[in-house]
Amino acid sequence: MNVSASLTPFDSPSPQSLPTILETLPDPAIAGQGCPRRTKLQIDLILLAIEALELGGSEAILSFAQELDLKSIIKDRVNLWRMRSSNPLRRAHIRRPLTIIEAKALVVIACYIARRLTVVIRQLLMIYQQLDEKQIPLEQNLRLSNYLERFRAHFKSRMNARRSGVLALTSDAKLDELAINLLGQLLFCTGTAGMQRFWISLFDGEVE
Amino acid sequence: MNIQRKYSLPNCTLLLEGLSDVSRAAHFQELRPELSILVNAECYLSGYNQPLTGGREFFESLVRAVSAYAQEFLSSVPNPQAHNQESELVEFQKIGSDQHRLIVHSESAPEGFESNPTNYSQRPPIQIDLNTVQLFDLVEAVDQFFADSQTLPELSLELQPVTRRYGGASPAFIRQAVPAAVGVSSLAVAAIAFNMIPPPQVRPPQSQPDDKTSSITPNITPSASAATTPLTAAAATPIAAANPTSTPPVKNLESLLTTVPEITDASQLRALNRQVYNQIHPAWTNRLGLKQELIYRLGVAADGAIVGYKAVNKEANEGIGQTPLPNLLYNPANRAPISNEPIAQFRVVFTPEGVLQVSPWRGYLRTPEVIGTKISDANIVKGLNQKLYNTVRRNWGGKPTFKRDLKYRVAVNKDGVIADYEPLNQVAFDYFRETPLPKMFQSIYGSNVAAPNNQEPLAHFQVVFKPSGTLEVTPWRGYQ
Repeated sequence: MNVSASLTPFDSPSPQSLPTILETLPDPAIAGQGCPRRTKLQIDLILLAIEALELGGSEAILSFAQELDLKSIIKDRVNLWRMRSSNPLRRAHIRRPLTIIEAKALVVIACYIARRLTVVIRQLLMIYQQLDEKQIPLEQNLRLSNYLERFRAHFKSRMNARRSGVLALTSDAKLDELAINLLGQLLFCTGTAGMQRFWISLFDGEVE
Repeated sequence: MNIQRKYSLPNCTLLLEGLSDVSRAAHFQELRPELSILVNAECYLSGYNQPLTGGREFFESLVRAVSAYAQEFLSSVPNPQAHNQESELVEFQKIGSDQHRLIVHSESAPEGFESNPTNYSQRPPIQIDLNTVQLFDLVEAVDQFFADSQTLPELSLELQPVTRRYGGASPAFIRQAVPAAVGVSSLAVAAIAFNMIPPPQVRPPQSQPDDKTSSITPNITPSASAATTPLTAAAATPIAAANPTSTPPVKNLESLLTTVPEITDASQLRALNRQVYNQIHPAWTNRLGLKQELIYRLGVAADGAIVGYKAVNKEANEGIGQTPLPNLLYNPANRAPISNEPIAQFRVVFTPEGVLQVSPWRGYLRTPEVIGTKISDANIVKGLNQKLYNTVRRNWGGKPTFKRDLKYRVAVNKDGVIADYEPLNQVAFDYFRETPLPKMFQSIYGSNVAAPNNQEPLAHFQVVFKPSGTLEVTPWRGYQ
């Protein structure tokens, strides 16, 4: 039962020290260097939700990497795409590990973008609640249906429909549910301790 | 001086009122003095006119439950700390993807109600349904409080992932070798052996242990048959006693034991074993991060007070700070000093898996028996047997998920009111939540932390829940 402790030195991607912004996120007590499957999946999905929220979401991810001094970790578009493809549900799934450092960088960026979109996220969730209470179909609201449509389109075009995790998400209603759930998660990412909360939750049920 | 702190979000306002600790002085020139003593906490939620109010116990429970449930919301992995109705005032239930139920149980009863539970009627719990945005505002109010270093600075946000063992399958218990006479390591009433990871970790002030843990101490008078054999130092290589930080502890358990008699009566040990467990279990909050088992030898007085401890292994000596033991040592201020009282010894193990094990240091010399006066009239017992069966049967439904019989000892008073219960086998311990026993206990006593102090005669029964849904209640035949 020797769990690798959080004290293990990690292979720094570059000789220089790590961006300090990552120090706010503790290392989880998991064995090895790579993130668990669920962690990779969740991070990719939360970024997918961001891309559905605003056009040019993937550009935003790269420009935030620049802004937050994370270029040493997320070098360029191809590098980012390879990280995202570590999500086992992707059509273009690449069997590469997602390192803890890379995961931290992606989470930091996701939370920064979410914070910038706080107002939109809150409004969409409140619209959803009102429609849901009154049993009005979600398509009735233009803004919400735009988000849901874009999310479904992104999901269908990028995920492999034959994978077990995707099989459960074949209907539009199921995908809408996932999109709303991710919207709620994004709202939590905007909070004072949102970044830490989201990060720690990615390892629930994964540590020994 | 009275201080107010307010954390306002669109759907939630948290209002804390308290005082500054004058002894820490030098605050008077500060613009924002430190609120170090909480007098009152109010939580206003949109759509509800009445705030949730309470004292420190309520507030700590609120922040623990909110924090744990926020994590569960994010990961969809159940977080035990968010649903801990046995020892928390506040819990959450998920009702739908976008609906969350906040439940607040009324504060624990005033001191001394245990002896007369019938006069104390519990207020029903308050339930408030929140949607995701409202829940977020509550979490955010709590997080803003955590971020405020001038308000109850000893409460800080400490997040931990839920361990794999809690993710569904029942945990594989790692049993340590205990003296052969001990069958099952002792199990406390409705305790949970899983990792309870309460972020935030609360470091209680060293003045007083949390009053929840050990308010109940039956006065057991040592039975006449208790063999009193003075103890010779048992450990061949004594390790220096860990240095606790509180009031003068018993520095040297061995030397104490050479001067006072030792409690060896099996029945008394068994009762004390549960009391020790019930003190340590709720107080051991941060259950992650142990690399090795920490093993201690405890000296315990006849009323359950922990009067001394000694590290058995090196890790235990170094890791004492990670255990609640220093805070649980009896405080002479609220208990008469110990002189010449007989002492019982226990072996206490904190495992890296977050499991607490308590067992008598030397095991049981004989099969223990239940302590206390018993109702022996065969007709009365028969009637109570039927009554207990009916009550439990009425409250137990649904489809069992366990595969083996759950066995409990359940004690009732002459009116058939449940007074005590304990699991008798491991599965009974693992699946106790599937039985109605904790809820029945909770509804009568408002707590599930310890057995009430019962001086009245009791009738004891063995209650077996079978995977088939069958229930068996038979008169108690003693520990097997």
